[in-house]
Amino acid sequence: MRNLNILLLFFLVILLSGFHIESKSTTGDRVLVLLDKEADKILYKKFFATLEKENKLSYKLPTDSSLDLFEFGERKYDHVINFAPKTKKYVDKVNPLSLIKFMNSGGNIILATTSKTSENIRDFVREFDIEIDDKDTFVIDHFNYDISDEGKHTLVIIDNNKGNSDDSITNNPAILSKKVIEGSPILFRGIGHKVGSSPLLAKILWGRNTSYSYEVRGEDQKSIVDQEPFISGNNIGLVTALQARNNARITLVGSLDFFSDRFFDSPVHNVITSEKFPKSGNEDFAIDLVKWTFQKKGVIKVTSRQHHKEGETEQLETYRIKDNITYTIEISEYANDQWQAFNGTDVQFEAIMLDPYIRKTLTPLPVTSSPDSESRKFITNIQLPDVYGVFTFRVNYKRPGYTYIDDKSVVAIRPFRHNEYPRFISAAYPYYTVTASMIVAFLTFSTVWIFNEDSSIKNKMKKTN
Amino acid sequence: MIKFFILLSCTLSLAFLTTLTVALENEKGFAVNDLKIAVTSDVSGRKLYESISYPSSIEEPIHLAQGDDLKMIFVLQDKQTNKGIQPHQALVILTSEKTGNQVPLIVRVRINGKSKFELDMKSPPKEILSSPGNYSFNLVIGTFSHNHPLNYHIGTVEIDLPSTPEKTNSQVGYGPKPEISHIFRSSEKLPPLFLSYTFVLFTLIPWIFLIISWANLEVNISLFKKATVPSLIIILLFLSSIVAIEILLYNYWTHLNIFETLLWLTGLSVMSFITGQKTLSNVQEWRLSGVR
Repeated sequence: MRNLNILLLFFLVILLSGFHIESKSTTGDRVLVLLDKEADKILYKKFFATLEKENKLSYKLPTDSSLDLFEFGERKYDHVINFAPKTKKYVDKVNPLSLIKFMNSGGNIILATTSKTSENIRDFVREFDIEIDDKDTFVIDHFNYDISDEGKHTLVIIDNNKGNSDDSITNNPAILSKKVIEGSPILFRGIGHKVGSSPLLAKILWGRNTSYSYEVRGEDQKSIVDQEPFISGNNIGLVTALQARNNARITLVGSLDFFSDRFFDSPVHNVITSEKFPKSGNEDFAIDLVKWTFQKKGVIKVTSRQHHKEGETEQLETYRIKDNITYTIEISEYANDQWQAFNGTDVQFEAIMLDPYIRKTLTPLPVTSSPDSESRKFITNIQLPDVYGVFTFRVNYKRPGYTYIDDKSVVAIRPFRHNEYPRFISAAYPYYTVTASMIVAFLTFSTVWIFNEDSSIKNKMKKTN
Repeated sequence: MIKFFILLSCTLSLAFLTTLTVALENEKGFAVNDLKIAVTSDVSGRKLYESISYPSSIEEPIHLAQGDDLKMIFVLQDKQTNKGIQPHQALVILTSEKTGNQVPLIVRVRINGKSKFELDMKSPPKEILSSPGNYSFNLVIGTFSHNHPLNYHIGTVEIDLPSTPEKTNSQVGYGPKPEISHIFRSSEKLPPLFLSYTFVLFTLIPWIFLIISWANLEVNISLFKKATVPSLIIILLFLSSIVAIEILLYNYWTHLNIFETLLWLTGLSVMSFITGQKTLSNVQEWRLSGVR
């Protein structure tokens, strides 16, 4: 009986796995959620509920000794949500080093911090050229705080993008959707960080011009800012993303409250400007952040590339110097849960031999074949340089928010063959003429020699006869 | 669970109440009074002395050169009680008009509200040193107890320092790079066309001599009329085969390769050999018969 049960269970599992719906992420759907306390889960109920629709979440404490990011050398999870900034001591399997290893093998991380962030996390983000401000500091803005703030002016409001120079939110369509960029303001309470100059980093949300990061000591708030804040104004990073060279993504959010149900549902009422919104933009913003971090958007890939001589179609391995060639590359973007035509306009082609000899922006072709075409062609015509050698045709497309494309194809470029040089050059006209006149003279002489009737010879012969 | 919600709602309502009371209590602001700005130079003494009141600002850019010292003093007072206040945030923010980069600088505020700010160009902040130029000069004051913070645009400072460019930042952000178009080697310089044509004419001069001398020698082709038809055909075939070989060699020069050329040449040479021999026999016959 027991055996039968096991057998039945076995079949059920097989049946279920057959019906398993394929993950919508381009990487996977196994998510590890790290929490400071088990009870914290309830604070972010809405956020986790949204995630659970498409992912398999496992909730763990970072002190759990059974925790491991890898199993038999393979990643056990595709993404990590780290909501445990306060825990001082992580088990070795999830310490900063292991998390870096996790990213090196392609895992993505969302990390939220608070003013009580442990040294552990600080060490971890230092790896990414990010420095979190000192313990107990908050991002303070006396100009933009919500009415539900408790007199500390730390519940700051970040307005949507108005297209001004003092915007504090990125307008990068690869990361945030239009709805979020132009939507309701965002509530933030937490710690700021300083963002380094690495090109891998992309600032998503940063401080308003009047904000600063400082301690709010005690209830009386008698302390004053008596030394320059570590970061202030638009130098404060609030939400920052990093995309590693292997396309693994990490998003650092300075506020853990940012994801809470309270902030998701809270209306926004700016005390100073009296602007009111029925609901904060946090929820939509958080969903976009997750989508981006879990590689559900901003993912592009090359589907094909081709090069051939102008007017021909065959792809050659060797071209001649100064040949005119056509280079085509097809790029696809993952958005709205499907692969579709990529809409970038700044894809560049390079012909490289140690140094780039030619760099040219490719022309995107309209997608005509069918409306649901999965890729777009980018095309250019170039004349190859007059230097021969082994060249690399490269499309190195690196833009903040998009996965990296580095597509290389190697071709040889040969010099002119002996019979490919020009045959008639003006300096040699006399030589050609001499030759031609030689030939004509020879033909004329031959004709004349054959048909010439020499009268003197005739006379002479008559005489001798 | 329920307990938690009760607790949460309690804290929330408490927070709301406190903010409400705070808001009601604090319908008050503060004022910046007796604001004076002075720039002294160690070369020419006092360069600027201006006294302004909120919200007016200094129109002319404040010029700061090496060795200048900008000082600003003012008094912060509560609007109702006229007592001095000491805010949490009292910063001068210099925003570069070129890069948008912000430099926060501390304003010292004493307990009685007397405030002092100094920007000494002998030891300027390194951010300013690395990119001199125009900076907008804002005074930002914010407190927890007053609900009207102040962002006062005082003017523009023009920082005139020898630029000490930071060590060239090799790490540039990702983005489109400038296009490169290959510069082709210029083709070899050729002599003017006129010269080429002149020498073409020179090379044709021997024809004149040839024609004159042939005319003097009474060169003719009268045997053409006297030849019998079969021999004439042979002779013409021979001549045309020579012409064909010349045309073949021209094609070899322009586009044919050696193998194609040899193939054609084989046929043509056989033909010219046979017809040539016949032609020579004809010529010999003519000679023996005494026509030449």
